Amino acid sequence: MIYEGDMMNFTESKVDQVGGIILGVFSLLLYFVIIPAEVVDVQKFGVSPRFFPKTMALFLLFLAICLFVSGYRKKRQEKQKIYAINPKELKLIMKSVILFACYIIAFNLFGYMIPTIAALAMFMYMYGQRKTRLLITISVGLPIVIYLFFTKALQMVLP
Amino acid sequence: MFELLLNGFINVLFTPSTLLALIGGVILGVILGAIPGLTATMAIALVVPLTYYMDPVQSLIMLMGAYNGGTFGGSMSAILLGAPGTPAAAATVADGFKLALQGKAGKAIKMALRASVSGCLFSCIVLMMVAEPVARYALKFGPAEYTVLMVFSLTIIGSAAGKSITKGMIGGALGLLFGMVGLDRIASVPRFTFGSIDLASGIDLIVMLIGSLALSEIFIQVESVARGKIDAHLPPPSCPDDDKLSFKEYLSNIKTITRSAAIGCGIGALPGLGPTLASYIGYDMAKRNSRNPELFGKGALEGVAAAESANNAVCGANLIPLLALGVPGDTMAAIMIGAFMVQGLTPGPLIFREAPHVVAGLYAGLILSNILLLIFVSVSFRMFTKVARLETTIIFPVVFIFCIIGVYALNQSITDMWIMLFFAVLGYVMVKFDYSPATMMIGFILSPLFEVNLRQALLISGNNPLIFFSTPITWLFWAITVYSIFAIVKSKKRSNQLI
Repeated sequence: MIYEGDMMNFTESKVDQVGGIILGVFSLLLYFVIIPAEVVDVQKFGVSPRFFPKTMALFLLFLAICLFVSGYRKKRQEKQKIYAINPKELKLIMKSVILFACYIIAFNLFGYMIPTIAALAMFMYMYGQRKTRLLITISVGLPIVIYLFFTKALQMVLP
Repeated sequence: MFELLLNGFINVLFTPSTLLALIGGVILGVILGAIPGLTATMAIALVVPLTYYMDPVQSLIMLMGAYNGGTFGGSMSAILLGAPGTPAAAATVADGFKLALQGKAGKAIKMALRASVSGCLFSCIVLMMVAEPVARYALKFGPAEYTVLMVFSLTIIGSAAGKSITKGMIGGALGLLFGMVGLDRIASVPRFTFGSIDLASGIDLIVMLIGSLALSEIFIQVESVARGKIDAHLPPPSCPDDDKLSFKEYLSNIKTITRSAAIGCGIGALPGLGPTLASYIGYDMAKRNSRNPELFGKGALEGVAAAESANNAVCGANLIPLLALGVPGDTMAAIMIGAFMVQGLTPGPLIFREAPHVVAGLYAGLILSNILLLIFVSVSFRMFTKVARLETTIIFPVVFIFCIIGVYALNQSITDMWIMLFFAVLGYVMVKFDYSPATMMIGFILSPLFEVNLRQALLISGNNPLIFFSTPITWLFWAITVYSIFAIVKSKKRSNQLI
């Protein structure tokens, strides 16, 4: 990883090699641990239910090796693609994912209305909306409209 | 036949309640289709209770209108938000949203609309002319033929792979793997459910679509907020031409539209495949045959036309096995069979003799639904584009909430929300490092079809693999598959992207 100003830069060869290793470990785990634990071996229906997952695990292992080798071969190339990641952007995405997760938990605990109003307001504020009137109007008005649309027009149940 | 069809048109056009039912169906379909998570199938499922109080023609054309409108509606959000409203519009995102980002949202929507209408009208003609022979031919497809067709379909992954074929295939393999989650369809034993009952029915296609294609795309766009961009989500058109689609532009894509419509008809006539696969194959074929394949994925009108013509062509073609043989091709057709039965009719070869006026009314309704779709979207698309031009501080949170509520509404399941979030993060990481979530989607769609048919074929043949070479149809698909692989390798070698 190379830092250039605010950016975290990763060379293509590094990304491919690391990707190959992660995928390789995952495919081995899949073949030797996950499939034996999660897929029952039934022989009387012709091809076993394990056949396809195992084939896929082996295929993924093959692709992981290809990816690693291609990354290794790119190592000496001068013109490599650089994957630049801005920590600011990454932080915002992580905040969004965490807020999303909190919203799902709150939705499960407290139902639709209050968590939706709160989540909408927080998302809007997080993305830079500072007009109080707009914030309140949309974050309160839209969940009510959605609720009426889903429960009255579409006859669906929202908790 | 012609006289019956004419009567069908007169009946629909001059009976206000029938025309109103059709208009209502189309509008509801477009609106529901445009909301991520709500699909065309959901639109018709919601319309079904209303049809109990209608006569057969009214009820069936309302359902067809909702289905046709819903299939198109998905492309509105695909183009304007980068978030496909329905799985059938997944292939439209690649070029439609890029065009919108160039200020050409109006042009993209008009192309999608005209291609959808053309595709559906093409399939209507096929339906009226050759429903019976096509359906009989489609019945010759057994598990072996389906398996080889799926092998051919898997080659789409190669050409949709983007810069690296290895990364594309990794996406495809992951999709195939995710498609195996749930009860095994042959032995009925759980696979990868990790003890969760919610996972026993597998991962819902829509949940995965919203997560990996829609939300991940929004996350990518949210990055711009961190760079201080909080102005309009989409730029306005740079010149009046950006909002228009000239007849010349439409004509220059007519070959692509016709090819995709024919593909959509073929896929729609085969039970179990559906519009999503049709749109991906249509898009892929258009890219391979295009004079400018390098423009695909960067805002090619041809790409929008190909995907949209193919998926809407399935609307008419789905009725081929339904009407001619009484075989439901997909969920929509199964709901339609229910609607027929509520009206005391049984779809199948006899319906052409027992209720010809209903069949003619259905044909007329399907054709008219396209005209209404054309009118409704032409009038209302500016309203949709205005919504998409709101500030990012409003549009992103609103889309998030629609995605999450849409996904919850599918099965009233909190687990689905978590699965969606998982795929959103996975899709985001994939996009960041040049893996294609689209190939994962293709793998996911094909996974159950491929596995079930392959295992059924092997069961029938006593594990003899020669069953996959046993009929002329299988040989035909093998030949197409080999040609397809050859063409992909050749084009990737030319652009030095084989690994």
